[in-house]
Parts: sequence; C-alpha cells; structure tokens
Amino acid sequence: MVKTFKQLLTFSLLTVAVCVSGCSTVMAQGQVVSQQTPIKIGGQVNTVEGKGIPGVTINYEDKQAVTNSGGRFAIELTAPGAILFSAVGFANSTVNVSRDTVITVILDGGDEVLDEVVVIGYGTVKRRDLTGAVSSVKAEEIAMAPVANPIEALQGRVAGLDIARTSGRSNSGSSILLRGNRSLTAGSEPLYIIDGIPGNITNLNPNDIESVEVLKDASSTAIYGSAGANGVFIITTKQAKAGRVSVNLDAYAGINSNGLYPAALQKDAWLQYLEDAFVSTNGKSSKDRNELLTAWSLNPEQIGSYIDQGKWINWVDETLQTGVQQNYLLSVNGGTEKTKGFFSLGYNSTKGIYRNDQSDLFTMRAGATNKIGNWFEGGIVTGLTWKNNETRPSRMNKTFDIAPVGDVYDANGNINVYPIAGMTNPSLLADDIPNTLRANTKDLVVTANPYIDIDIMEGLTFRSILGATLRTSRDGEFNSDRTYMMLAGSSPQVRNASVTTNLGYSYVWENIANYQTKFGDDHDLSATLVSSWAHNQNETAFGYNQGFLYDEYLYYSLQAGTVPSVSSSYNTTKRMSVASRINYGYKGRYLLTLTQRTDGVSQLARRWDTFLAAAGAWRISDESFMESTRDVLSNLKLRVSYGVSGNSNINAYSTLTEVTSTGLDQINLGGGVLPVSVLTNAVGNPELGWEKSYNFNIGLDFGLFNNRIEGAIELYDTDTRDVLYARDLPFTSGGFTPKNPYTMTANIARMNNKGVEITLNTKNIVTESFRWTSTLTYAYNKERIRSIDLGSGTSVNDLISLGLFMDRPSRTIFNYKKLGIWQSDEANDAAVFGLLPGDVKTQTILTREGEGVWVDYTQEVPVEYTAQNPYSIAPADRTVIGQGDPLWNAGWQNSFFYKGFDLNIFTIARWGHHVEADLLGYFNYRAINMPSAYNYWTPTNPTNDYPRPYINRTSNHSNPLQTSGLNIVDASFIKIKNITLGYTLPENIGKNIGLSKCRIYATMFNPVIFTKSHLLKGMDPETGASDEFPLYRQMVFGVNLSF
Amino acid sequence: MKKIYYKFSLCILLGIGISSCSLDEWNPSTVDVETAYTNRGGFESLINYCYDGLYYFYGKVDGIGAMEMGTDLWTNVTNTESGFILYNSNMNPQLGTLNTIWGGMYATVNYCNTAIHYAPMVEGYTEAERNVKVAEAHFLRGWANWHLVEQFGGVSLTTVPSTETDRASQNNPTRSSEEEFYNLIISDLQFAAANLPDRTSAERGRLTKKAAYAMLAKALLQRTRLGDQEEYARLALEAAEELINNGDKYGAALYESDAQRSGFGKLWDGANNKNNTEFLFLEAVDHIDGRNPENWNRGRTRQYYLMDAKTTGAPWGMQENDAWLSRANSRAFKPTKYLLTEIFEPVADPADTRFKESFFYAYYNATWSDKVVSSGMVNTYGKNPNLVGHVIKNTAATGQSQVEGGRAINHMGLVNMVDNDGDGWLDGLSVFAPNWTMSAAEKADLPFWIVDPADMFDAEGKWVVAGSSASAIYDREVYPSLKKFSSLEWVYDRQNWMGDIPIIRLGEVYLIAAEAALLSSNDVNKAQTYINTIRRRAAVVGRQSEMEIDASEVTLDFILAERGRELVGEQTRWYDLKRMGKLNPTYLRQTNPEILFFDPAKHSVRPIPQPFLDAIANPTEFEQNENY
Repeated sequence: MVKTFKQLLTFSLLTVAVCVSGCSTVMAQGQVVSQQTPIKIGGQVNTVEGKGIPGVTINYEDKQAVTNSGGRFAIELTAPGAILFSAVGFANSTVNVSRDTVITVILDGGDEVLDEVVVIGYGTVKRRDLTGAVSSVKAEEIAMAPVANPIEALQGRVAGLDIARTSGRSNSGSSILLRGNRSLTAGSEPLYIIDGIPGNITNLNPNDIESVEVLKDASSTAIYGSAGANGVFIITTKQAKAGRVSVNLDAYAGINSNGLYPAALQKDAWLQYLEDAFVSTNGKSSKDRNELLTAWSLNPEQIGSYIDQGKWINWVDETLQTGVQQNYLLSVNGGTEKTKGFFSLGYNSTKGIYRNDQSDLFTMRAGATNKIGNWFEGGIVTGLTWKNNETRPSRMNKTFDIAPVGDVYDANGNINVYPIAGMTNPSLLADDIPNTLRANTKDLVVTANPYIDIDIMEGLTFRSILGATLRTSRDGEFNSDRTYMMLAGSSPQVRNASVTTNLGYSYVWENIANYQTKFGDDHDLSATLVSSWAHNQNETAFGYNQGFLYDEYLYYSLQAGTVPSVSSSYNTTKRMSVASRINYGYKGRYLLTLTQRTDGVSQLARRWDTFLAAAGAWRISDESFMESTRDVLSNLKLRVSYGVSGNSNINAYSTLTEVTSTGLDQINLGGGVLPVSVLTNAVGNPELGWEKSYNFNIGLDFGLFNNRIEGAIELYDTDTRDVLYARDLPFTSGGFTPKNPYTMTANIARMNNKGVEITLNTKNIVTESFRWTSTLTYAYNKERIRSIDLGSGTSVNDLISLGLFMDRPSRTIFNYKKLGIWQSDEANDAAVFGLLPGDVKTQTILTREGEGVWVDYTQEVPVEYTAQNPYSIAPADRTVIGQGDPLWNAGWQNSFFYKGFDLNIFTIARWGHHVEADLLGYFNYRAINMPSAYNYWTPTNPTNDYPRPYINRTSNHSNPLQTSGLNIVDASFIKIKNITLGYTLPENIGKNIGLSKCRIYATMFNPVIFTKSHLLKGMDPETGASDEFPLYRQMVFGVNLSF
Repeated sequence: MKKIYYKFSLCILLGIGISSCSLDEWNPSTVDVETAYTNRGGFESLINYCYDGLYYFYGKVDGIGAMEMGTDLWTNVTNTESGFILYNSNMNPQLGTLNTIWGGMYATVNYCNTAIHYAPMVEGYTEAERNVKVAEAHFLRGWANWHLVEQFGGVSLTTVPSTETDRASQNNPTRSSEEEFYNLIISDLQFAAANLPDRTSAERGRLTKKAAYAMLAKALLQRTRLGDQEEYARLALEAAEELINNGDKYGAALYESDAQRSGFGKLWDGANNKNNTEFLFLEAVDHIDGRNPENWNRGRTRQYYLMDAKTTGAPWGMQENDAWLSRANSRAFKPTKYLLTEIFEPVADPADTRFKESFFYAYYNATWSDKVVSSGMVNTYGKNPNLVGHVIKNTAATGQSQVEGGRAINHMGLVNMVDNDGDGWLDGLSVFAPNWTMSAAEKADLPFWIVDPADMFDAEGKWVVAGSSASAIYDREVYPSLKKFSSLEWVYDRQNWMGDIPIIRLGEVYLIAAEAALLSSNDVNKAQTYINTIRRRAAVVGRQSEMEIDASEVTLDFILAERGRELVGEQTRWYDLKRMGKLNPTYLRQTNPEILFFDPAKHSVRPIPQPFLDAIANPTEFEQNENY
C-alpha cells in the first residue's frame, strides 16, 4: 500500500517537473558507456558514531551518485581510480579502488557549525568565512512551533529582531522591527528574498522553509542597496535533491480558545458601581433602584425585570468561541543529476475565536531545474497562494457601553436584535445574524522565477533570473440595513455593498556574474557583479452601491442599488541598480569584503545614489599562537564592518503637488452632483532625496569547550540621516479636507541606534540517551533622535505632533502622566488643582511647597497656587512617559531529547516599553459599564488604579476627566510562547511501515504570561492590550512524516 | 575559445539590457496644477469644492457649540460640549470640535486662495465671467476668515495658496491683527457683492448677491466691536438695505402671515425648505441621493436639543426612536430659564408664534400602542389617583417623507390626533413641557405629565438637580426641544434630517439693519420699522398689532432679545453677545446662572488647538491665546 503510494507520488512529482520546466526528464542515474568489465563497488558511508549518512555525494570518474537514506551506495567504475565522498557538514574523504569490493567510509563530522553553509546576498559562504552579521534559523526550529505565519516562527530566535503578533484575528500579521527604528514613515519592513527573488514571506507555508538567514549589518545588506536598509531575510525553501525521491507530510490541528479579554461588570458589582457613582455625584445614596437607574438614563421599567430575573449577560463569553486551526503540507522532491524537481501543496485553515472570522490558505510551490549542456542550466520555481478570508468587525468593546442584562437569544434560539425589549441598544452579536454583514477577501498570488545559469569558464558563472509576481485580490463587503453600526445609529440604515479589486504585478530582473579564483595557496578571491531592474505596478477599482432591495444580492449585484459610486487608481514605482562585491581571503584567516551598490528610484527627486560597504574578519583561533588555547577556545573570530545603506521606501508621487478628485466629499448645491478637484493630499517635495544609514558593526563569534558553548556578540551603531517622513503640515497653510491635513514627505530627521546582540547556543547535557540544549538570544537597543529638520533651515527640538523628541526614540509616549489617585488625606493638595480625593493625580510642572500650596517655578516670577487660586492642568504638563518599543527583548529556547522524545520550551521577553492600552481606557464619567478588572477608588477603597466614578462631572479648573493617562502602562512582559512535546518513532519501526521519519507532537501556545504591571492581568501585552481580536491560548497536535 | 565569446556576449547583452528602462514617474490619477486650473472646467471644479467647509459646521455639533453656546440661551445636559456651554475646563486646547473649526476654516481659506491665485490664468473667460466665478471664492474666504477671527482672534491670515508658500513660512506661521482680518474680510465680501450674479437659476446653494450683501452686512456690523462704530454700522446698514429694498431683484422676500399661519411659521414649514425665499446663504442638502459631504449623515441638530424621550419620558409613552423628534441618545443642550420665560413671553396664548414654531413642547404617545396610566405613575408624578386606568392613545404610525422620493418614516402625531373625550387636549398627549406655568390643580388632574418652568428651575433660576425635590430627578430631563430643523418632509430616519440649513436669512438682515441704524445714527424710527416688520410677521393675522413696539422701546438690549426670539438655535448667538459686549460675567450670571466660570480675559476667544501648536516650529512665538 505504502509502496504504491510512493510510486504514485514519484510519478506525480516527475509529471510536475516536466510540466514546469518543459524539459525532458531523464531517469537514468549515470549512464555507463563502457566496453570494459566494470569494477563494482558497494558499501556504506557512516558518521564516526556509526550512523549511516544519507545524501552523500559520490564523485568518481566523471560521474556522480548519492547514498540512500541508510547511507548505502553501489557504483560501477570503468577503470581503477579515486572515489570522492562529500557531504555538507562533513570533511571530504577519498578512497582509491582497483577491484570489486565492499567498503565502509567514515566521514568526519568536522565542525558542523563552522562549515554550515550560510546564504548571503547573491551567493553562499561557509559560516567560517562570514564577515557580516548574519543569523540563521533552520527548518527544525521552525517545525518546533507550528504557526500559520512564518514570521511568527522567528519570534525570539534572532537576536536583534523584535516581533509581535498584531492581533488575534485569523488572518493577522506580525509587526517586525530589526535593530530599532531607523526610519519614521519610510517603513521598517525588511526585504524578503525567497529563493533569490524579493517576495512576500506570508505567502509561504512555514513547513516549506528550509532556512532563513537574517542579514543585519550594512555590509551584508549593501549588495541589496536601498531595499535592504531594514535588514534582509533570505529564505531558502526546501529544494529538490538529486537521488532518492522523498515525500514529507506535515500536519497539525488544534483549538484556539481563552481570548484574553476582561468582561464588563455584572450583577451586584455592576449595581454597586452605579450606586458608587450616584453617591459621588449626588452626595447621598439613591432612594431605590428606580431612582438609581433613572439617574443613569436607564429606564427602570425596561431593565428592572431582567435584573429581578437574574438575566445577566457576559458579552465576552457570548462573542468568543473556540476556534480551530489546521495545517497540512505535503511535499515531494527528487530527481537525477540532470533534472530535479519538487512540489509541495499546503493548506491552512484557521477558524478564529470570533464567529465568521476565518481564513483558508492554499499554497502550492513547484520547481524544476534541468542541466541542458555542460555549461548551461535552466530552471524555474513557481508558487501559487490562494487566500480566502472572511472577517467581521469586533464589537466586544461595546460591552462597556451597555447594561449587562437582557436575553441574548429569543425563544427559538435566534439572536435577539435588541436584548432588552424596548431599548435600542443592539445586540453585540447583531452582525452575526445570517445575511447581516459580510467582509470577504480573496487573494491570489502567482510567482514565477525562471532562471538560466551559464558556466562561462572555469570559476566564472553567470545567472539571469526573472522574478515575476502577479497579485490579484477582491474585497467584497456587504452591510444589510441592520448591522450593529446601523442599529446603534452610527450609520444610516441602508443596505450597501462594495467590491474592490486589485491587480498588481511586479517583476525584478537580475543578472549576476560570479567569479571565483585562488592564486597561490593562500589567496582566495571572488567577485560578484549584479545588475537589477525592478518594476512595481498596482491598479485598483472600487465599486459601491446602496439601497438594495434584498440581502441576498450581497456584493454580487451592485447594479441593483440606487446610489452608485466608483473609483479607480494606479500606482507605479521603478528601480534600477548596479552592484558589485569582492571577497578576499588570505590563508582563510584574514577575510575582506567590499561592496558597492548604485541605486536609482522613480519616487525621489534626487534619484541616484551610491552606497559602499566594507567588512573584514579575522579568525583568531586559527592563528598558530592560539594553538595552546584550542582545548578551551575552539573558535574565535572577530568581524568589523562599516557601510552605508539607503532607504527610499515611500509612496510614489511624493515630489509633485498635483490636482486630484480622489478622496473628496460630494458637493451638490441643488442642481446635481458637481465635479470637484483640489490639490493632492500629499504636498510635493521637489528636494526629496535618499535616507541613508551609516552602519558600524563589530561582531565576535566564539566557541568554547569543543563548541559545547558557542555564540556571537554583536555591537552596532547606526546613524541614519535625512530620515524620510510623511509629515502632517500645520493647517494654517491649508488642508486637504477640514479634518485631513496636507502631508509632505521630507528628509526630516537624523536618528541613531546603538545596541548589543548576544546569541548563545549551549549543549548543557549530552549523553547517549539524553540531551539538553539551549539557545538564548538577547538584544538591547537604544534609539534616539539627533535632529529634526523641517526644511528651509527650520529645525526644532521637539515636534510634538509627530511625537518626536530630541534624544528620545521615535516612538515616544508623551502625554499626561498619572501618578495615582488623590487620597482622602490629600484633599488639600487635590484642591490646588480644583480636584477632590478620588480624582486622578496627574504629574504637573508645579512643585509642592507645603500642604495645599504649590508653586510654578517655570515662570519668570514664580506663581503660587492654592485652593483659592487653583491651577488648571494644561498641555505644558504633558511629559515623556516612556518609549513604545522594547528596550530589550530576548528569546530562550530549551530543548530536551530523551530517546525518541523531544520537549521544547520557548520563552520570550519584551521589556522596557509602554503602551497606550485600549483595554485600560474604558474608565469614563457617565459610562454605563467598565471592565470588571478595574479597581476604582471609593472612600473605603483607597486604590491608586482608577479614579472615583461619577455620573456627571464638570468643574472649573483641572479637568477631572483627565483620564487620558489612565491607559498608559509599562507593558514589559515575559511569556512562555510555546511548549512542545514530540515523539519520533525509532527508525527501524518506521521503516517497517515505510516511513523514514515519523514524529508526533503537541504544542501549547501562550500558556503562561507574566506582566510587569498588575493592570494588564488577564490581557495580552503582546498586542498592547488592544480592544479587539485578543490573542488566545492555542493547543495543537501534529505529525511530521517522511517517506 | 570562440564559445566563450558567445557566452560573454550573451551575458553582457542581458546585463546591459536593463539600462534601457526609464525611471520617470507617470500618475494618471492626478493632473498637474497648471493643466487643471488654467482649464475652465477644472477651475470651476475647485470653486465647487470651496463650499465643502460649510457642511462641517451647520447642522453639525462641531459648529453648534462654538456658534450658539456659552450664551444666555442654553445650558448643558451632560458633559458634551460643556466647555462651550459653561466655559469649564473642557474648553481647552485639546477640544476636538475646535480643531475641526480650525482645520475646516483654514482648509476653506486655502481652497479659495488657490482659486483666487489661478483665476487670472484660466483660459476662455471674459473678464466678467472670471469675476463672477472668483467672487464665490472671495465670499467663502471672507466667511471662513470671519469665523477664524471671531473664534480665535488675531491668528494667521493667509492670502497665498499652499503651492506658493515656502516651507519656512508654512512651519513658522505669524499672527495678524483682528483689524487686518476684517480689512480682508470686508474687501472680499465687497468684491463678492459687486460681482456675484443677482440670481441663480438652478442651484439654490450657489452664492448670489443676496448672500454677499447679507454676509457683508453681518461682518460690517460685527466689525463695530473693534471701533469706528458709526462708520462700519453705516456701511452695514447700507448693505442690509440694498437687500431689503431690492428683494425682487435678488430673489429675497419675507413670508407674510395669514389666517392659518404666521409668516415665521411658513418660514420653517418643510414645504418651503428647498425653495425658501428667506434663505440668503444656505447649506443645500441633497435629499434624493444623499450626495453630500458625509452622504446621509446630515441634519442631526435636533438630536442635541431633544429632551430625554428615552428614559424619563418613556413611562408616559415617549420612546428613544421617533423619526420626527429624532433619537434621544446624544442630548447636549437644554434651554435656560431666561430663554423660556424672558426671551419668550411665558403665557399660554401669546400673539408671538415664534415659541410655538421653534419648539416641540407637546410630546405624543410614540410607542405604537395605547398607554394606560398606572397607579405607580400616579404616585411617582403626583397625579390625581382617579387617572389610573386612563388611556393615552397611540399616535405613532408609518408616514412618508420626501427623502429619496418618498421614504417611509415612523413617527408620532400621525393617528389619533383627536380630542374624543372633549377635555380640550389631544388624547395622545404624553408629556407636556410649556414655557408658561400651569396651576397645581391642572398639573395633577390632566391625564398627561406636565413639567413647567416652576418644576424646571429653582429659586436662583438654575435647573433643578437630582434630590432638590422628589421629582427633580425626572423634571430636569424634560423641556421644550428645538424643532427648526425637524420638519417631517425631510426626515430621513430617526437621526438624519435632509432639509437645507439657512446660514443667513432675511429675518436676520432686518435685525442687522435695525441695530446698524441705531449704532450709526441712532435712527430709532428706522430701527423700529425694521423690528416691527419682523415682529408683525411673527403673529398670525389679527394679532399683529399686539406685536408692534414703540420707538421708546427700541434699544440695543431689545434687539438682542429680539434676535433671541427670531434666531434661537441658528448658530449665531455667541457672535451676537460678543459684538454687543454681553460676553461678560454680569450679563451671563443674570441670564444663565449655570455659567460659573466665565473669565473675560480668557473666554472672549477660544484656545488655539494644541495639535496645531504641536505641529509648528515656533509655538512659543505664535503663542497660545491668553490664559489658556
């Protein structure tokens, strides 16, 4: 059965390979044309431990073969001669044979890590020869924690890379930041190079990834020029290997539950809250419940009976469901020396924790290469991604606006539109009623990367590669006349629907020449020359209509509405580049890399610039004077690099002010809709030039005790000048619309990032049956703004509207700072601000000179404030509270292996940052409800968390509604991101059932979270405690199978 | 060896091939400024957009607070806009509505500056045609600058479009004096008055001479607060009289009273809304397709003025959602005792119809079912126990408005509007909130809930608060609700109302003329004539003479009160108090005792929005307005 399956797969693989490459498939494994009696050699290639090594390349005469999965091989030679055995991660071995024989070859494991091949820009290099700062993540690490989005798999694994998932929406992405913000609006998205061509990592199934290399310093990224300014992720997908056909199946399924979201007050706690606010507002208790409810504008007739019957609603429980996640990837690869092919098919389905929030993702990748002559090879990699995403808005935060009573469902089990009869507060589930709301996106991405390789002469190769991507998507939105927003009165009750279609194509065409030579015994030289052209084009069309008669039309019958509107748009950017690089090595100990890149882009006024970089490395441990230390210090390498990278990642058309009719209000003065046009929202800047980062990096790689402990330390200093920023202009010189200011992209600031990164891999315990290994990554980054330039010689120290402050990071939280709550014994001090005990104590510019006497020393003549002459808290009292990005972050992976079992515990930490947490911001006067987690002040509960509630509050002086600082909190956290327990079937058992590998595992996500601030308890700090689509716990079960 | 050449040539060909591409940008979704605005159609499309700003302030909460509140007429319901109403700490640089005014007015100024700058370059215009079009931009620039100077004082005055402004001056705005503002405002409006067409055929929202003379008169009169009072008042009178005396020419006329209805009633009659002869400068609203700024989301004024139909009125048969009254979930403003009992005469049957035509005060059963008076209601509201069991008839049904060509709307007052039991009151009446005081017996015996000024206000003239009497917690939520912007014809749904909104109407021009006559030459007789014209048409036929006043009664204070009667709710009151020197603690304490915190050294102008000060390079030189 299994065998048939394998044959079937082999057949389909080859069919695909043929179709894709268009080349003929040659099945022969090394054709032997010989008159002589062949010499038959068979045998086994083993490691020093005696384990068979699969996939060892065997070179003999002018032929090649590979060992099978058990390390066995059989070849025939025409004449006596040498056989060369080689495999990645092992030292080569040569055996001379003269007659038929069976041999056992042992390959020395050598220095696995140092000989590991690292993919760098337009080439590969052994880690031993690396000069730049590059981190690698391997397939095995990605497999340890199954996720839908490959980016999430990198969280905490690369020092200096800060990743946070943005929300618990089924289709959500992750925010990513490498070595701090160097740029403001020009984006911090790194460049993803997938198999040599820029692409989008989220279009991949994580299990398709063989390795990810993160290039961090300017010297490593310089060859990519401007596109690589925020770092380059080089993703290598699993490729075909010559030899045996291998089939892999990875699958997991699991459940998503326990969204981290606080419920609103209920039952007695809610009534107590209403009463507490009544007392503080009116100075006495309410007469009865009717008076209390009336005071809150709640009609006692309407809601009294629900309270009496105990019909309480927890809207969080009602809204959230248990989601389901499934992921499958089937991949097949194999081929011959001449022709290789691979094929993979993936499917991921996520049902979110909200009803109607789900996504389906299909991925297909196929590739083939064919050696056409001895100097010419051609190939292609194609990918297809199909995403179908259904989503809905989150209404959960509305639970803080309504009385927590009513009937969620009617007698027939249908959702009640109005849970409280007679009241017009719609159900938070109103959008879930069938045919009420649809938001569906379908995305298709097709990539095709054909290439040709030409061996021009010994050492000189040439590659021409085309990376073409075609994207098309359709967003359909439908709102019936009774969506939540309409029922709540926030938008007119009229059926409406829209369709947005997007058609984008982009291509990159690159030509790469590589020359490699050796002169003398000690000099290695290689050179790379690249020319590149990129073109990105996007077109959108949007159609909207309203006033449909039937829900059933959804967004498929826009013509059936009565008030149509349409729009369309177009956008193109282009880039042209030439780059070169020289690598020189002397005795393998002294390494030098020089890189140049010249870029021209269409979206800048000063289009062309050249970026240079240099890097050197010294393998200290290879020096003869270090010989004596080798027992302890197995490896030591120092790397230094300096380089410039440019950034031009801004919107097209930023250099000219033009006239547009897009994005404007409709004007009808009584004679029909009028044509309108105004100046574009983006004011042109004809001086726009490159943003440039000057990056200095020192790295030290080390290995101790025969590499039991190995790691790297990186120190960097990046100075970024002429930072690009699309800034809102002051309204006095006009605005695009009354609520929408003009923006101008300009080279506005200079920034600096300094940091340390440490990566430490340790083999803590290694015995025959038990192994414990750890990986620790740690990164500290200090970011600051060094100057702010508004153009025309105007520079300022702070630009509050953009949140820019000299010597502070770019994401700085500046606001009123809550110090606590005024307590009963501080009444006299509170009165200085026109406040009462129970109100928020805000930091001000005043200095306390005595009880009830505060002085403003910032004035020329100090001003004294007392209860009689109270002080009004004003914008000058705002202060810098913290930074938005973590000061440091870390990841700590611990892996335990015992016999077939593996246990992985992965912990991450993000520390030293503040967030403005939505979920902490629901304290408002006159708010009917609030999160039950809030500990608010009453005369008998002297907390410092939340102020005293009131039904209504107005005052002369300091605004008691100074609640803007309440939601700002230190968001530092440590979190066990996942725990995985796996079991791999012993090889011999696996073989019996036709499997070369079989692993089953279970993973738990987000099991333990520790937050520094107690206010964040029960919320997720990773998403900044945002109020929609909370993160959740996840439990998955999966298998990895190889045939 | 030859092969190597081939290979080399192939590679070089590929490598060099790239250089044949071009990096020039092409953007088909925009067009360059010269092409756009030297073209007549393009230029006129810019003029069209100069009207956009109006739609952000009239019939919008963003304009109501700043233009109508903080006066003798209104006080607050909750915290909404309480900074404007009470001058409390919510009036601060972070106030969002102020930022909208700032942004909206400056956006308008820049659209107009752009139009005025490019006007001479437009091809295919005669001089006259050009002036007619560019006059619209001059008018709207004058309108926007007028609001800027009145709200914020001497702030940044710009006359060049953003395309011609260098970055240094964009980032370092400077202040101009209020007089400089007025010089430009007046010259802009004079240009508009000279060049706009006498009338327009098709578009009622398009500016014509009647708007220009009215706005010019209004601005000139307001200018008198800065000095040269007689001169500017004379000019204001001249502009106002040009309009009053040439109504036929400019298409402006007052509605006159007849036996059925007063002229004032007709003015607000929905049937006259879209072709109103008194509206001189107006915000035209598209009621068929909703093609407006914010589409259907217009006309929510009535929502902010509505009494608590949702909770307090509910036991008697009101409900949160009534298309005529609107929705009781955004309540912000309620009348002062001064407005209800002094501006308006607190009697049941006044000759002046303006209270009746401006306010809802009889609220009918809107619950779609009859309401039976319970013993609980009798006890709570102090009614006569024999009313238990009395039926308040449902008056709600589905009617129709002219929106979208005949939209179904659900509202009260459509059925059972009869007095079958013959008690002199309609049988569906639920809540009655008159501005006159009724007897205790009437209040107990009539089969509906009555809240009159005696219940609403305490001895100081302040609104009652919870606990000040047994029923105060209910009484404080019941009051007459402004209904000028509620005519059934233009109701879209319970929130949105699609009628046109007048910005200046002819009635106001008469009152401007009267005030200007007094200020320029103390011409009492002229003032009396204009005031009496307005007062006569506020009465129904037969009682007009009761409305006429003697020359001896003609004072500025009388005019201010008359403006209150005529223009209440029309977004002009704060400017009136400011012009007439009544933005002072004495006057405000007298007329609106809820205002405790008014500080003349601070509150005569608004704070400069903080987002603006945070965005400029010279916030310390530009300076926040004093004491904020």
